Amino acid sequence: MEWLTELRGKTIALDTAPLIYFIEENQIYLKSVRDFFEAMEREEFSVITSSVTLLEVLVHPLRNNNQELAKEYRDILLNSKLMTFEISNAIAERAAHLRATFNIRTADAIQIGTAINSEASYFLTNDVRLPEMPSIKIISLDSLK
Amino acid sequence: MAQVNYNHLISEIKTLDLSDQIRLLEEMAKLIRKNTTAPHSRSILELKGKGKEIWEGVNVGKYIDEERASWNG
Repeated sequence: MEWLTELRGKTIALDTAPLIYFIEENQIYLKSVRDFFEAMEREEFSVITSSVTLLEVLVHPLRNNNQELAKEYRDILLNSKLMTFEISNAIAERAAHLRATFNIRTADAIQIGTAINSEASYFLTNDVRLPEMPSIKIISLDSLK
Repeated sequence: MAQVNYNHLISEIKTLDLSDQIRLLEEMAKLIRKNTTAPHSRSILELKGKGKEIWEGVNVGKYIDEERASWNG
């Protein structure tokens, strides 16, 4: 829980994996993500993400022809305290700089570009391959176990 | 904001080039949208375990890797 104390009052950007771990109640990460989302509900910090997260969460139920579940996921994601930002030209430009500088994948660059443009202090992910970046601190779920 | 500050701001904005004016507009739209969002009708906590059965057997890290790799065609 100490890591959550550090987040108080800040803006945290969220990658897709922690959200899916919460949905599937992943045994390894459930405690960390549940504590995180409960603190978010108590408004201890703000959480933002990009439309990439919405896309990635919806693909799997839609592939399984489960329109109703996809609709539920979409409704919750877009009407909860999680702020999901559309990909603007400003975000695209920021993502381009990130890709050019750090050679990260386009989707990663959009997620982190959205985070930086929203002045997020942290990016919560489980991708340990992301390089360190000067303007945002990466938090990997694996580092919290 | 006092009218004089507003007028000063507008005159400053007019000195920006067009791409920065558009960028400013997008940023302001985002800010205003954030500040005027309707009350949250759903809780993120509702997602816990929702439809978890369809994710059984899915390696989430691999799933996201495949989705992001698909951007390359």
